Amino acid sequence: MTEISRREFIQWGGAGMAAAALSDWVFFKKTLWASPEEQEKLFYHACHICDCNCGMTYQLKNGRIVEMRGNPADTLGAAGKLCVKGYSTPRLYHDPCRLSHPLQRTNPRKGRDQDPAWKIISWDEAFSAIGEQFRRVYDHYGPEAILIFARPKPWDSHLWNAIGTPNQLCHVDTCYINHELVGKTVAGGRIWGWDFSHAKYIIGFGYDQPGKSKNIHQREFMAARRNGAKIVIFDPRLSETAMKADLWIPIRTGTDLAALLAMIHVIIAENLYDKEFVEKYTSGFDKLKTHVAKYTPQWAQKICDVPAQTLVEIARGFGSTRPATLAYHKRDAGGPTYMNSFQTAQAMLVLQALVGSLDRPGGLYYSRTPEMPAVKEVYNLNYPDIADKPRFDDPENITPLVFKTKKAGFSTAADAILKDSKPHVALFHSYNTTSFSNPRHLEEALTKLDFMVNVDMYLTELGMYADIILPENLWIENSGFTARSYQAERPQVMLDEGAPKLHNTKGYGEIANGILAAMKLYDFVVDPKKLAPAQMAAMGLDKDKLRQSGGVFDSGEPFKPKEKFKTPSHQIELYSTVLEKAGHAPMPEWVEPVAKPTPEYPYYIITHHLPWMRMLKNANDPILKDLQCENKAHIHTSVAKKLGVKDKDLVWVKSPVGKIKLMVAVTEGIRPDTIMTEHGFGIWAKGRCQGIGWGQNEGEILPDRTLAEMKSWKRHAAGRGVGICDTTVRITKA
Amino acid sequence: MRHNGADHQGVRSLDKDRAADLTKLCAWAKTAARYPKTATDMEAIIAGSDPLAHWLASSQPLLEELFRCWREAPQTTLEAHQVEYTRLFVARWGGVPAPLHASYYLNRETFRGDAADAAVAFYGRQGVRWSETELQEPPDHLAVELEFLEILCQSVSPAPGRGDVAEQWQDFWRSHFGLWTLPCAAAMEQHAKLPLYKVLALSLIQLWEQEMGHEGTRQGSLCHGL
Repeated sequence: MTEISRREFIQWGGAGMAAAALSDWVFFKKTLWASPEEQEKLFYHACHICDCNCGMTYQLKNGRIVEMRGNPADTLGAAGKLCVKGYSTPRLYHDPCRLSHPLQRTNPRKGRDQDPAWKIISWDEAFSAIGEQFRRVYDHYGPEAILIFARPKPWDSHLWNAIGTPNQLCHVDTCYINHELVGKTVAGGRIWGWDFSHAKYIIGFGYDQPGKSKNIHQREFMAARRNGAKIVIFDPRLSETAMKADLWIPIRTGTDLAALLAMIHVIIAENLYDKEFVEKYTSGFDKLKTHVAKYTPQWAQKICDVPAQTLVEIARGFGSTRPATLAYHKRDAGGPTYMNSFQTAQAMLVLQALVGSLDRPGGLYYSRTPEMPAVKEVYNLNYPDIADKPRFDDPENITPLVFKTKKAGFSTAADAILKDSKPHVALFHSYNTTSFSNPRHLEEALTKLDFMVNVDMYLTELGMYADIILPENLWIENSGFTARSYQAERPQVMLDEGAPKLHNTKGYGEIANGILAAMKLYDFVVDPKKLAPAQMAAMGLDKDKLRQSGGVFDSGEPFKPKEKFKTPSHQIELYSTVLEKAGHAPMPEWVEPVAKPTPEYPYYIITHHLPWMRMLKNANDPILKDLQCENKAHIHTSVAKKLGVKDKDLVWVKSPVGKIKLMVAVTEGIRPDTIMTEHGFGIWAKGRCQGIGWGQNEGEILPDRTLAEMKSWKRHAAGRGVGICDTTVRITKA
Repeated sequence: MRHNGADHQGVRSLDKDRAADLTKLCAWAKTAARYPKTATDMEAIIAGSDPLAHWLASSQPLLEELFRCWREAPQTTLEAHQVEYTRLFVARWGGVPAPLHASYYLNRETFRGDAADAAVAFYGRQGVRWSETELQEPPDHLAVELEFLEILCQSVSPAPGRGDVAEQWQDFWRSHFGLWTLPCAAAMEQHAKLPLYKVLALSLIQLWEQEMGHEGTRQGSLCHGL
């Protein structure tokens, strides 16, 4: 056959085709009159950069966000002000590095040094490819071979429930699971409100939410400060919160539990507890009294390096001042920071109950989120029963409670994938490898999977292991409502009016249902647009009503302290029957942290989030990045002297997991046996153009856990927390 | 081609004869600046490349190479161009070297920044309205702006008193299009691995030099644009 030349192709075959293809207007339409200048219009939304969900208002002009403020009608949250992260939303919205189209890998080899060679595909093509792979696995290996890494949000839950996989893995065991699980098992609910402004005495253990620029915490905490509350912060480093305290106690890293047990001991031994509250609302006091008799301040002093007399004085002050409260939340000493952190969280709640300030003014309180129907009720769905299906990462049911609350699984994900033949495909929604400690272990596990989907707003490190990437709307492009969970002393609902979508993205409801349709699970495919109106209607609301009330529905219900608690005894169980039944310690017990300094690794390591960063969500913000563009190794003056380094010198920080190179910051505000570095750096997937190459991901030196380890900690690690900082490091001049 | 036309504040004016040539050129460049979704898109790019034959002689061997690859393995060639387009302009491990929208260059690397508004205002003054396509190119996307130039060229009339189109052409180049296309094309030329995007980059550079050569040096404009 004769091959034609380009010239012939153009002349004979292509000319007509070219004329047809090139002559039409693709992007324009004629108008008879000029469009009038668009006026600015006010819209409402809740901020979703963090879970404070502060109400915000924004102005749109010509499809662009031109102004953003805190919504003054959101009296429980923003109260008219946003934090620095909230104000960065317009820059996120207009960020040129956001994902704009579904992408498909064309290079089958996966790894840090492999270019996936993405190509743009349509949503139909993306769903079709995912549906084919997921359905194949569903039919051949069963739904449990499909892993879903996602938060338990409505459409995420819909996806895994409809598929029928028990293997949903969530970040909470690197975040708030301990506090959540302790709240639910010991006291029957989620304790996610802080009335610091009415407290007279506040103690925190590694608590630094104000230092992380959490709007609600900052406002409450500073109100307490102004109102003259006594504030004591236990922390190995002088955190931003500790700087505002009356007393900073540089406790030995990982031993907060000992100090707490000693305080419980003193408060009970000296009859300082709130007798009326304890008698009326708690159970198990006598057992607790006997149990803590051994935890004397002198015993604790040896462990936590805080003088016994100091512990006694603080316990006396705390026990004899009303109202007194602990300040705790997420990744503090009761978070998943150490392998004894579940016990720490439990001890915190017990102490809170002993001083009678659980769900009482001046204390901590339960979220009063409004009642509304779930996806299942709105669409009348009958999901497969997965309650008793074994999880691939907990075949012996070591931590049953954690999987019945908010799920978990990050701590052992890599080990479980590598050791188990069941998982074949996975979907990750808004998680990154940097969300995991020891990310290289996870990356090794991901290469074992047949197929992986990543739903995100950016091309992330995790995306480099994906086969398909689906671009999700930025939250401000979604419409609906947000029910306040932080600081919800009464039910409150905020209107979400989505800004115009700038890219070829979709909301997660569309994505989840698109996948289900592609998997031919038609019984569960629903129209996601109907959910928000149905839920609002069930609350007697609609978007017009919310708009008329300034974007916020505030029930105005007066605070009614709880008289009964959702536990088997309807009381706060100082001796938890739920934990005991599940094979965990019913009362907080001292347990040694895993890591102790050795000659090879002589320092503890702790981490912190900078106030202008929410994990990596803001990492691509050029203005915020300039505030501190890389993380540092914060070391004590004496350590710097010993190493012969000064500010801005480079050091290697090495742990049994890995090593990272950091710039030194010398300070008196840290224990000499501890090094601190900040989270949210070390981007290597260059899809984020701004944050690339700055700093190091501290996760590279932090441990993840094995299934065998988790089994050995069954009694004490009911929350399956990863023990992020339960390792030690060495530091050498680079 | 340089310094041989009427001059309006440094930008070359548009007359009917030039407009006819530029219409075809802009139409081709517009197509090349879009994501090649199907085989038909690739065929259109190859078939529509005729106007480049004399206007940009250096494009010919590159276009020959493109055609050879296409003739031998159309599907592989299509996918290679899809990957290359994504790598150069949309999403890439290693950073996107040459985003195809004006705001990136003119508004501190934003998406849909002031430059997008400026582009929309130009469109409105010409009596046309930008509308979103399936591929959702923003209003200041290279392909969109090239189509706008194509429309301007089509609107040129020999009748006296219809100089507004020529003024629009000059204004658009001087205050918008000419400010960002050269750095974009330079980045594209530097990073493109496939002939098509080399040709697109060279075409943009040639076009810029032809229209904006009076405004200053390439280097000067690069600095201004960045």
